[in-house]
This record gives sequence, C-alpha cells and structure tokens, in this order.
Amino acid sequence: MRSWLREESEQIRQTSALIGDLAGLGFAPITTSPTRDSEVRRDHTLAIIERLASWSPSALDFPIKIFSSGPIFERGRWAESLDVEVLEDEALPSAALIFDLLSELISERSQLTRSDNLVFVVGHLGLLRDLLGQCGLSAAAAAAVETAFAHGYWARGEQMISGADAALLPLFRPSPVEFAEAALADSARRYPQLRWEAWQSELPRQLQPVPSLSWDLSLTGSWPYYSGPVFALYARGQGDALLKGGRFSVHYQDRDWHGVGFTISLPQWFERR
Amino acid sequence: MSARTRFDDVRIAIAKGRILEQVIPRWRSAGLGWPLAPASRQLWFKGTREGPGGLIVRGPDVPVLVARGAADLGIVGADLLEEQGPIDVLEVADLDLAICRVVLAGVRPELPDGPFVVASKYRRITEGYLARRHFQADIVRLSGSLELAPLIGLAPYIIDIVETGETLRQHRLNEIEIVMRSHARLIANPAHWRSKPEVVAIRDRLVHHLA
Repeated sequence: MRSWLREESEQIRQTSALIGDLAGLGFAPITTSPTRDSEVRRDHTLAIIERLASWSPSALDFPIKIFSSGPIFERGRWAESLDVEVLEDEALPSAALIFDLLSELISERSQLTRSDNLVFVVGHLGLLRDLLGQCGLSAAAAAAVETAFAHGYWARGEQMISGADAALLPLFRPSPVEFAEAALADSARRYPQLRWEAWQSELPRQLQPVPSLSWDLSLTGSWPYYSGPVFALYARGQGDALLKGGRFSVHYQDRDWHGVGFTISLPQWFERR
Repeated sequence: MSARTRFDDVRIAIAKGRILEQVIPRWRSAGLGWPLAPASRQLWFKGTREGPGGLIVRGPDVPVLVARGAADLGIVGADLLEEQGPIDVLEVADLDLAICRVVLAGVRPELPDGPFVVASKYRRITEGYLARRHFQADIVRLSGSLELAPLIGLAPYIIDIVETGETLRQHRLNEIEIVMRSHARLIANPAHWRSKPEVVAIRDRLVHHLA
C-alpha cells in the first residue's frame, strides 16, 4: 500500500508542478464539473465554453488563456487529464501559438527527453478537404472519407480515394515531415487550386525537442468541432497519446467560440518522465 | 521503410480458430516467418528481426488488447468488431480472409411474421438488425451451440455466423436472410500506427502478400 500511496502522492506533486508551469505562462484555472444533469464530462473544451458563456460578452477579455484539470470519461473509464485552451474573439487563433507552448512545456517544463522517442503527428482538416476535392471526390464523398477517418475506418477511407493520384495516397498515412512537405509542394504544382501556401504556415516543420515529426492527413481529431490543424504527441511503445488537440470553432449560445487547445492525458504524460 | 526494417518490436493479436488457420499461410507468404509447429498449442511467440511477435487469443479479446496497446495490430472478424461497438482502434485493412456471414436462420425457411424469439450470441448485431428490419423480438442470449435452440424449443430463430451453411443443414435449419457479411480485418492501435513505421510496413506486407 505504501508504494501505491507514494505513486499517488508523486502524481499529485507532478500535476501541481504542471499547473504551476501553466500559471507561470499566464494561463488561469477554471473549474468545470465532471458530472452534470446525469451526464459525465467527456471533454473539457465544451465544459469550459459553457462556463465562459455565463459571463456577459463585454466581460470576456480575449485572448483567454485558460486550463481545466480533472477526470474525463473516455472509452468506458475515467482518466485524469489537464486541458489547456487559448480562446480568441473573432479571428481564428494562430496554430503557431499552441505549438510554441507545447515546445516550451515539453522541453523546459516537463523534462520529457529525446530518449523517450517522442513522435508528434499533425493533420489538417482544411488541407484534407482541399486535397479530397483535388482527388475528384464530390462534396458528399469527401465528407464520407473524412467521417471514415474520424471514426477509425482508415481502410474504408483509403479505399474511397484509391482511384486518386497515387502520389497523394502516402499523405493519408503518417509520413516524415520532409517527405510529406515535398509531396504536397509537388501536388500544389499539379493542382493549382490546392491552397498549399495558405496551409503551409499552419503545419509545423519541427517541434523542439521532439525528434520525430510526421504529417498524417488521416488524423482528424476525435471531436467534430475541430476546424484546422489537429495533432497528437505519442511516445513510441506507449499505446495512448500523451496529448491530443487542435484548433476548434464551436457555436454555443448564439456566438462562435474559436480557440486552440490540447488535453494532456496525465497518466501517460507522467509515465514518460 | 527500408529492406532492413526490423519487426521484433511489433506484436499482433490473432483470433483463434478459423481466422488463425487462414492467417498462417498469409503470414508466411508475406515473409514474416511463422515460428510455431502446426500442432502447437502455444499461445504466444516472440518477435524477431524478420517477423512480429504473436498473441493467439479469443476473438472478442483482440480489439481490447489492441485498444489498450498490448498489441500493435490485431486480426479479428468484422462480426466481432461490430459486436464490440465503438472502440479506439483503426481498421487498417480488410484481409479478405475467413469470409463468412452472419445470418438469420430458422426451422421454417421464411421471415418471421409478428413478434418472435431469436437466440444469438451477438446481442449488439441482433439488436441493430431487428431495429433496421422493424422486427419485434425477444433475444435469448447464448454463448454457443445456437443450432440447438430451435431443436429444443428455446427459440424458433437464431442469428449466427456461418461459412458454408453445412452446420445449419445438419440441424435442419434454413438460412433465411444475411444480417452482415464478415471478413477478417486488420486493426491497429492508433498510437502505435502513428509512432512505429514498422507497424504500417507489416500492414502493407499482409495486404499485398509481399515478402
């Protein structure tokens, strides 16, 4: 029992340190309830937006840098997590903002090291939709591919685009950033409507100190509110992501809420320390 | 992936029975080196440089092991994936093996008329089928030997998986309607799929049978 209590204490200590790091970077805590109206919390983002919406619009001071901690109910079990968000008023927030924050947290704050074999994988819903249009798919067929990827039916999604330009197909599986970037630049030359230059600035080419960065357009995020870049951080050999996130747009109580954020799975995050 | 890709850090969970029997030749033709003797009852083997490790388990356990990351990949019937319900795995290939179908069968060769009783080991598939067809039925949940249910008066209909239909015929049952078609699917843990390039390489070898 003592070792179990020691582990629990260590996790609390580490969570407190992470919260201290976020506070030091200008993020404020917001509490959200893990259960409400017989529903369990499956996601912090919507719970945070519900709370923010309780203020009058004039009281909201953008950009709002905020975090919420506590368990979420995922895949039939509760999992401790910490959710970090930056909300903007009108304009879509820059993805670079969150990538910089991630770099800082990973390299300086959490002491995750290169020896952990970290892999950062990025997808982009805008680029995916653009590319599916170039594959000659109708809007309905493109939406079906996106839904297949979102629900884990990767083979079905791949089959639906199998008639497309073969050079595009590797972009729908994890590819090293150099390879994916070259393939996309080449595609942009052949398909002028592909707004590659617009998307390029939203896809990171490196994330210090993560040694391996891949792009994978089949990564679409697990929530329907994602609207642009989506990402996940993995540690080779660990069967769950250390963190997942992306840029989102949510319509709630007569207004649009735009932001970028990510959820850290605390057990996975601390297992790598 | 280079020709020198190593597979010793990859583990695949394989459903016992019909799927396992048909996977072994595919595994060999993909050049992955099946290490167990034909009559072996061993349930596990270690990965090597040339081929991944294997876990030979009951079908319903395959998605669980993959979702939890205990296996990088899994080979399991589409029927069991459907019965499992939403789970955090990626379906990365239809291996076109272990082709069979889940069917409604009964003593009489016609669709039920009015409320009826049906026995099945597939609660979720059966509920979905009944809802799609607007049938009113009581489901008797059994774990096996479903063909006995009509013979002993437990339920005049069954929903079960068949390959050739021979077992149904031996029990004087008629195949009435196909509920779903099922092939062996290759599933992947999303984290391993995206962080271990050799997992994607094994998928390609199993699909294209290329050594």
